Amino acid sequence: MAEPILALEDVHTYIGQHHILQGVTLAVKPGRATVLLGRNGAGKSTTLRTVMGLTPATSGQIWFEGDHIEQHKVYKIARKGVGYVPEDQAVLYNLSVEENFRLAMFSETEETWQRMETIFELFPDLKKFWRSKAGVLSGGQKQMLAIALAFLNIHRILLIDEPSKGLAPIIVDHLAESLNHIKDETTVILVEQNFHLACQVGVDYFILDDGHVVHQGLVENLVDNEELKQKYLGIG
Amino acid sequence: MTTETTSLELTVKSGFSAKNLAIWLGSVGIWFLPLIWIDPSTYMVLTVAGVAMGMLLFLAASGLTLIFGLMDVLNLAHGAFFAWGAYVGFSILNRLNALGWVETGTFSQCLVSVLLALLVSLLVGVVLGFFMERIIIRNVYGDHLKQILITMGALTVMVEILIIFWGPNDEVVLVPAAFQGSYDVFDVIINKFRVFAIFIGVAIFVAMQLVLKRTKLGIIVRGGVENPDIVRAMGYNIHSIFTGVFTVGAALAALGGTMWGIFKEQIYPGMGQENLIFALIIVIIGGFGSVTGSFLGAIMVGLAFNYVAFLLPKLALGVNILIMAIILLIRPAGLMGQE
Repeated sequence: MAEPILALEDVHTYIGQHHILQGVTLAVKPGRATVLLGRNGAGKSTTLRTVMGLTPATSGQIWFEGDHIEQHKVYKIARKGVGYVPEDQAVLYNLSVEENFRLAMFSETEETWQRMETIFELFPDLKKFWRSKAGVLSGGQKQMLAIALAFLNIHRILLIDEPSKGLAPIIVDHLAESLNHIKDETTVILVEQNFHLACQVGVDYFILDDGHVVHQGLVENLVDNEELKQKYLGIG
Repeated sequence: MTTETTSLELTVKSGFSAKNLAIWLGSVGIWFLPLIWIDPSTYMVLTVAGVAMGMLLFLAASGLTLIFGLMDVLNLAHGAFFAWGAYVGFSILNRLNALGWVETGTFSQCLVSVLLALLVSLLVGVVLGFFMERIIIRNVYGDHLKQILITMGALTVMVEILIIFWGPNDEVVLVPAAFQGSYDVFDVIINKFRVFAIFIGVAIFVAMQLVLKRTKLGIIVRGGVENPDIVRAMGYNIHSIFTGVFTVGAALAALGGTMWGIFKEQIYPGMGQENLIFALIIVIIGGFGSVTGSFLGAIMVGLAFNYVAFLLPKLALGVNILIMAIILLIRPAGLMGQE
């Protein structure tokens, strides 16, 4: 069994006075797509923000490729190869599409420009609106831009928070294809309310409830487990 | 991979409309209105004086555009940077005058004197701005009330320290010989230092535009202002970048102070507070975060002040507030602000 690329041990996180993560422990295997599932308010997004350092853990330990990162600053965590696509406003509306890409390119190498060509093949609209402000793109295009920005650099691990939120079904299908393309290249942790999308992309899963991990396993086994889905996800 | 995204809807907002065109035509046309009452050569003299004053006001406001307009930090101590810049420039000119470079110097000695005064005040602004951001501002990002209270305190302390060094009295600033007097261009009298002020103002404007719009640093700054979390998560140390932006803003204020001191030929410890009002008006007229807006706003204020001061002297001081009120009525986000 490979060493986990990312591991959280008894992580507690507060937002203001609210105790959101109440001892999260999980381990993410390298080269696989892991989905975090659970009801609203279970702590899924906070788990990603805590790993990224945006909402730092108040106690517990976080290892990334063997290093403690729970005390690291956000930009240092990012430079270690942790990519993050936030839930809301994952792109910068006042910048053009081109400027969003230039910002995401931490180093403008030959390789990154070659990846741009792949991105244009995946998301042709982005080339069409290259000079437009990202704020004028439709919701689906903004989300595609966010995914494309994450795809631009090769991350060691990519944290993606609810990319399908508010998108039309046809766009969610396109999103699933893009995410599957990304997971072929890097380890992915996906927070997703859309169970269908989670199943299309995920290999491993963790279910969070009230700030704890309450269940984990392979997504393929979860699909038929009606009791678990009903109890923790409210579907079935 | 399919290309179904082509079916996605896109709403590209047109940035140009008949209303905008009318506003812009009106905005340009109104500046020719004084020609009804003023003869053309006097109008040209007033226009050049107004543009020069506008450039000086822009120099004072440009730093505030970065600090208040872009970073959303209500820094009332900005006026102190301005005053410190003026006094440092004054001291440098006095030192160089002892070498015979200012009042009796050649053109190149005078030019070097002014540039040296600007450079040293810029450096003093950098030092003051750096420590101010690190010690005070960093703790109050995102909290306007705390910003007002703490920067008001910082303003008082900085002005009092200034008084310890230079005293509480007004000081006369030396104008280098090469910048005294005027040019006569087809009966239009143009003060030499005003030409220099226009040149410096345009140079600073172009430099700011190039950095903010054309460089990676500019993209990082604009992105960081809009959503610091995204920019941090992309691997940028946004705190260091904000320190840099604040420092540049303070340095520009100090540079503006030196230019203003030479222009007015007089400085006093409270000059920063008075100019802070002008600078705030210009940033608001221009639209938050827009360097172009501040540039245009400063020219508008400069022109209006000169025309009105000639026609109705008693109204001159209130005309800035009037312009601000009219512009905000028509465009609540300012000339170039995002609505």
